Amino acid sequence: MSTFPPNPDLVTEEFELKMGPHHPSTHGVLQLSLTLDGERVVACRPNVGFLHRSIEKIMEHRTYAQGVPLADRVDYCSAMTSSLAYVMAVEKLLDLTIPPRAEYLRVIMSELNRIASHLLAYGTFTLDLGGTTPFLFGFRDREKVLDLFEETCGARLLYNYMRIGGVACDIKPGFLDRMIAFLDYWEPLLSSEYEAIIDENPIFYNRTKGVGVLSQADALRYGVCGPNLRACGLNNDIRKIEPYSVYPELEFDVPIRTEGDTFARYRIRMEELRQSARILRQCAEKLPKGEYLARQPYELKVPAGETYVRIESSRGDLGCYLVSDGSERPYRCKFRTPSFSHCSVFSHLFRDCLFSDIVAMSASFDIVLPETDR
Amino acid sequence: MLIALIAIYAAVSVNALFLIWLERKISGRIQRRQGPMLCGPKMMAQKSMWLGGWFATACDATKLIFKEDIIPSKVDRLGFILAPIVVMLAAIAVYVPIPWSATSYHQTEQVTFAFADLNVGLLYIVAVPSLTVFSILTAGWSSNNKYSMLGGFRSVVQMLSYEIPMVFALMGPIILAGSLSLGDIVKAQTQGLFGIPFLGWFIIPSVIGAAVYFICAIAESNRPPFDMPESEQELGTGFNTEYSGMRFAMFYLAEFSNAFVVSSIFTAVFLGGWSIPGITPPPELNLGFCILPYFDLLVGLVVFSIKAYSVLLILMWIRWTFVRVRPDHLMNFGWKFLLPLSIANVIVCTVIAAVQQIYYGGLS
Amino acid sequence: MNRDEFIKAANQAMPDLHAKADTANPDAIVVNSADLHGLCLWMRDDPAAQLTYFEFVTAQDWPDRDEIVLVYSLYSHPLGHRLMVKTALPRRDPQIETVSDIWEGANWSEREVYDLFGVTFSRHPDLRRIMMFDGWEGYPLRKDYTHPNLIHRPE
Repeated sequence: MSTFPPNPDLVTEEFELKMGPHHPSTHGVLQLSLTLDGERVVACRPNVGFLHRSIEKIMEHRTYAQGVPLADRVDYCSAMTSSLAYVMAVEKLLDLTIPPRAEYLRVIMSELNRIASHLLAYGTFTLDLGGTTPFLFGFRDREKVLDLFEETCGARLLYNYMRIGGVACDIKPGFLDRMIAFLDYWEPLLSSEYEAIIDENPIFYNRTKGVGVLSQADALRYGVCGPNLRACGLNNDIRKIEPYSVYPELEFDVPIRTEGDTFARYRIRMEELRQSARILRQCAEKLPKGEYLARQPYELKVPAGETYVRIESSRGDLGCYLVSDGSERPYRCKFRTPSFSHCSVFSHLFRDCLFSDIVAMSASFDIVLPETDR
Repeated sequence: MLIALIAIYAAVSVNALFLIWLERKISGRIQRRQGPMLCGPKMMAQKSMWLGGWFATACDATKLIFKEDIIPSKVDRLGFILAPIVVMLAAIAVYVPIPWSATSYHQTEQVTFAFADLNVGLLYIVAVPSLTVFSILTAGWSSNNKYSMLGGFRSVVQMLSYEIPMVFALMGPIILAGSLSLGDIVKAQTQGLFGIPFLGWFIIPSVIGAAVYFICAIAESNRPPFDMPESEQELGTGFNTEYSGMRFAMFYLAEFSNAFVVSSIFTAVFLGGWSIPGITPPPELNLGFCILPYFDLLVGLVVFSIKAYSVLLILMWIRWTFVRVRPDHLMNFGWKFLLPLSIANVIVCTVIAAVQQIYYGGLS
Repeated sequence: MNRDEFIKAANQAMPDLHAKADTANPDAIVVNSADLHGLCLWMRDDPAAQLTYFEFVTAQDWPDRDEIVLVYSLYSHPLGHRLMVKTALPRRDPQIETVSDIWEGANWSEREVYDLFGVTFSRHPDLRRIMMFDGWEGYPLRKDYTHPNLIHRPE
């Protein structure tokens, strides 16, 4: 990965640049301590923790049900999936059966959130490369997904929709029609607008192709997961390898690329958008009638024990490790978050490259800092 | 003289404000955004989509004027204060030789309408914008900010390397017209090529030069996709990170003013300036006398504006659809692709000029 | 490979290991903290284990048992199985050898455990606080952690 080796003939002086935490393209509050030699990056040390809210500590002082809105805040760009991991962990300890309608609603919301999150990723990625128009395309349609969330649970960002035993409320009448209408409107735009504006553009192509190549071995060593690992040629989609919820009943493909570069990571997300739409269409057909919540006692006591549940969130495998001591509060709740691993790989990847590549590469990993810091 | 200077300054500023509004409109149309199209008093916005959105620019300008002028304590004050002034000066000074129109009214021969039709006009419009390099470097260095410094460095590298292909690209029209005066270059384009009046515009014999100049001009005016010195997402707007209020506004206005200058030069040098091929009569006819005093001047102004703004619209179109080029790709592109191409253009133009000279008599 | 096969294979490969099944977690095995590094190396390289993917390391604080339990979670992509390894450390001055030389991904995870639980990982290349800023006092995720700004919820 030495695209820009040092030039021994040129005597220069290195300097230190602290990029972030207040910087437009660090996606929140990541700090990269860069050692620069002109435009060339010699070394990079990522620093995280600026957004540490000690969610895990707060959870120990809240009841299980009160943990759901906190779990939302682990990854606020994909709140449905992060709270899903939490409630699934509690349900696994309770050994609870979920009504089928609730399972389908969970999948619908997760996939809609994946679309919203990937659109955000697309937008910020292209914005970091300097393209404002694709960024606004992404945000424009993300708003439409958020409209669907808003009509269902009243919130646009932190939904508090998942419940232990199901979901908070049923969908409104006509929701499925509006969802399908959105998909019908948006799916053709994927190729006619999103990809048309940058995919064939030689500037974009040159800036992403072969830039930030991560080998599969390195990716595994650092614990890279999700779309970023699939861009290195490994099928690690939890929905396929450790199926949960109703994913086994749904048909979808896992896009895989072998290049492992910035372009591959971007392409994987674009393909996943299409697969999410495919899943949503099937869910709309298969959604069964019935209860949406398995009723639980108000003061929920979870039997002592511990469990680890991981799901495929928008960014990769999001795990929730839950320890119960038999009381009504979790004894320990740990979130294993994909962005944490992705941030740690930066010190390995951001070497001997150009300063401009850094923003492209870090954006292609789709890091979300609240998830890193929790 | 002072009044004239203030008038020019006001005209440049107002034009730049108009361009900012225009840019917003264009971006709003490309990105399907509501704000830039409708923002403003309800009446006006409803009456015409074209008028909507001016309010944002007005608010912007008001905000920038009333904003506190912050000079960070660790900056090099002299350079920090001088830099935006020099940028603005260069942006205004470059307007001097641009041939807006021409008139034959009360004159024995056609007179170019410009602030001053310098006989080294083309050299002047290449040289004066180079002052921007100094001021951007000064701004970057004196800001005492690493991002600004990187932005300043990038700007020097970019502007110096793109100036060379740009000058070579302009060599073609110089050879074809046989003059450095912009007025003469426009007049030469009214003559036609190989006896055909419609081939008169230099974009036809020097098409490569026009393309090279256009690309270099984007780079020279620091507009996306060549906005390396600013690059919001990498350097946090680079050389002007530490600037606020009117000092920032000067950089901003200068950038838009430069974009207009660039398209004006492109119009004058490659698109026949104020002339319409086949229609604009040769100066002997003295159309100015026939209809109205200075009628030809007015027509020329309108034609020039239409052409210049069309070029500007293409600049904006490019800005809102492309992603940013990486610095090393920019250098490779400039030195390894544009430079040879522009030199080839010189040869092509020389051959065409020679053919024209031998078979169809001298150019103007 | 499920957990029992794992325990058998590991105990065979390393006779001093005495790995046991964990009572609380159906995926976990329990080992002594001194054996952990050797076990991890074996788990990564053994063709039947191939636990190449490090998911996380975290800790549980048990003041009544006076121990901090480290939990390592590992996954094998080629073989599709997972294993958790638990090891107990004393609450006073807990120390253990780092596994960041085995899986690079453990680097930050261990820093987090050091930051929030105060477990020292020997031979760790860069053991600094990661979430809290340098100079923070105490280890926030320990059960007996107090801070003036931390208001306990009334029962």
